[in-house]
Order: sequence, then C-alpha cells, then structure tokens
Amino acid sequence: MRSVIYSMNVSLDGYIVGPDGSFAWTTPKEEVFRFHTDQVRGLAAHVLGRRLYETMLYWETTDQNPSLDFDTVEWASLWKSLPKVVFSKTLSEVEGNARLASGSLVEEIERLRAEPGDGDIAIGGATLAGEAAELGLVDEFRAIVLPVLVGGGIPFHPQRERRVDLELIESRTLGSQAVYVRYRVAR
Amino acid sequence: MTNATLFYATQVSLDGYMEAPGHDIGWTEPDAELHAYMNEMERSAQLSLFGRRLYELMESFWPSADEAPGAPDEVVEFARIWRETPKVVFSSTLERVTGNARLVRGDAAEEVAKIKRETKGTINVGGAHLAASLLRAGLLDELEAIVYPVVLGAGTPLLPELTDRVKLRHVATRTFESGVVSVRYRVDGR
Repeated sequence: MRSVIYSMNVSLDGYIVGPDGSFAWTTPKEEVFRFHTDQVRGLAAHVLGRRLYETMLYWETTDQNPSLDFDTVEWASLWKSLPKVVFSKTLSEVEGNARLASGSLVEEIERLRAEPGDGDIAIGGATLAGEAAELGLVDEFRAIVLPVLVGGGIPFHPQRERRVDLELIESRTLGSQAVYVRYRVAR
Repeated sequence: MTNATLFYATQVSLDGYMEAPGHDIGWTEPDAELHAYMNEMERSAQLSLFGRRLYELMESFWPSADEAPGAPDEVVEFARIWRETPKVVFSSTLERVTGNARLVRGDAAEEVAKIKRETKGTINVGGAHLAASLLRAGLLDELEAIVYPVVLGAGTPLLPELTDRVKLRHVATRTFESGVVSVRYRVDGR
C-alpha cells in the first residue's frame, strides 16, 4: 500500500522555519537538492496546505528561465508534473497539475491510497502534516537535519504534548553537513 | 593557547526536546551499546560541569549504582567513572555538594572561561540551561545530539532560550541498533 510521507528540511532543534519567518538557512546545497529531486521521483501525489502550495507556485514557471542549471530544471519539471491535492479554506481555484480537495483529509488520503500504481503520497506543510499525524494518517517521517540551531519558529512536528514512537528505517549524511533520518511510525 | 574543548552531549527527541513536560526522561533508555558509548564520552572528560538539577539527579543515583545486585556491566562502569570524574556544580541555591565536586555560586561564564584556560583536553557540560548559557557566552565548542526515535511534542529544548541563530559544522554521525542516531557538531559561530 502507498505510504503517506512527511518530509522536510529541519534545524537540529526541530524547526522548519525560524522565529523571524525565514527559511533561507534551509536552502539546499547541491547534494540535498538532488536528494529532494529523487524523493519527488518516488511520489505518486502530494497533498499540500494552502501556504506551501503558494510557496511552491514559484516552480510552475521557473523552467522557462534559460539561466537555470540542469538540476534545477529537472526538479522543476518533476514537481510540475506531480499530481497535487490542495487544502484551503480561501482559494477557489488552483493552478498547474493540482486540484482543490473536495473531501476531508481522511477521505482524500483514502482516495489517493486506493489509486492504482506505485509511488507514495507526500504531505506538507507542517500544519496539514500535523493534522494528518493527529489522525494517525502519516506512515513515515523523513527529516533532513541541517547544521543549525534557530531557537524557535514553526516546529517540524506541530502536535502538542502527544508522544509518537518511531522506528528508524535509514540514516545517512547528504554531502558533508546534512543528516538524513527516515522513520516509520510504530503502530 | 591550550584551551580545553567544552563539549555538551544530550539525549534528545527527534523534535529537539531533552526532556518531556514535568522533567520526564522516562523515554531515554540507553541499551548496552549506547550506554557503553556514553560511558566513553564521560570517561574522556578531564572535568564535568553541571547545573544544579542534573547534578542532583545524577548524584542521587550514580555514586552507589554499582552496588545494586545484578547491575549490568555498563552501569557498574559508569558508576565508577562518575565517582572518579572531577566535577564543578553551578548553583546559587545549593549549600554544599558531595563526592568529587566543587560548588561555584558566581557567574558561570566567567568561571568556565577561567577553567577552560587552565585545563587541557575535554570538559563536559551537563544540563541544558547551563549549556545554553555557555553557548550564549561563546564558550561551547562542540555538541552531540543523541537522537531517540520518538516525537515528544513538548518539553525542554536541548538548548533553551536561544535568541540568535547558531551555525554548526557536522563532525560525525553514528547510528545504533536501537534506532538512536547520534550526531556530533562543532559550534561554528553566529
């Protein structure tokens, strides 16, 4: 069965966005960038909250920029063609290979899991992934731990005082500085 | 200059907490492999610095931990290391300290800067608040996060009350059978 995966760049103290709203420190180096590209290759669909959807809209047109290097163009093209389901209370339409969610998070994920073919389902950002985790819908956490402490901001795991036990599936360094850890939620 | 290296290691959840609410560290259960690794970290220190809370917790258990019938080898070993390692405890409320320890009531940063100048090798620091204050004072050189496969959702951050971003340099990663991943960093500056 398809797994639901929540994957982000995260600071050592567990934040995906710093206290000033900045995530410039997460700008991936080459190895991390390629890693994300490979991850998208393994996906069948991405479920997005409104804010992440709007952030990622940037990639809908960037591949027309002739100054981009091969890695970036490859990422942009994979991202654009990935089917997306967007959760929003305010948007009335979405662009690209995306549709607005018509059912609840549980229903949409059940529907995506039931689709034929291979590939996992990614979910983000933190708020939507937190809701999914709360509902027991997330199967895997993948963190790319970057060498920085930011002291506050938006946490990778937004659930409050709810302990979740995990099983380590994989750990390795990406390049020399980022540490990739992959966990399955223990059930 | 022969300044000692000031090193902070802590067990931490994947979401960056060194204890759950209510000072709960019940989720940290080092197995023999991890315990042996942590013993080695403690053994390699010339001196260990402690905040009051962690010192009291450790001193209430470790001096006689090896007397318990059937205590595992790694526990017996750590008890011996604990008794032998010289310690400095920073507290404004404690009246006295026991064992191989000295009490400092004044400004920790000033005293630690002096201790670093007078020591060779590695000095360990224990206690998240003490470690954070020494990081803020620019005295912390290395840190190691011993990351457990658990999300706690709340608790005490591994370095509380950080106000500035701290850049780190990855030094080494070690993965344990239990699913613990220990990651060592050098503090690179602000």
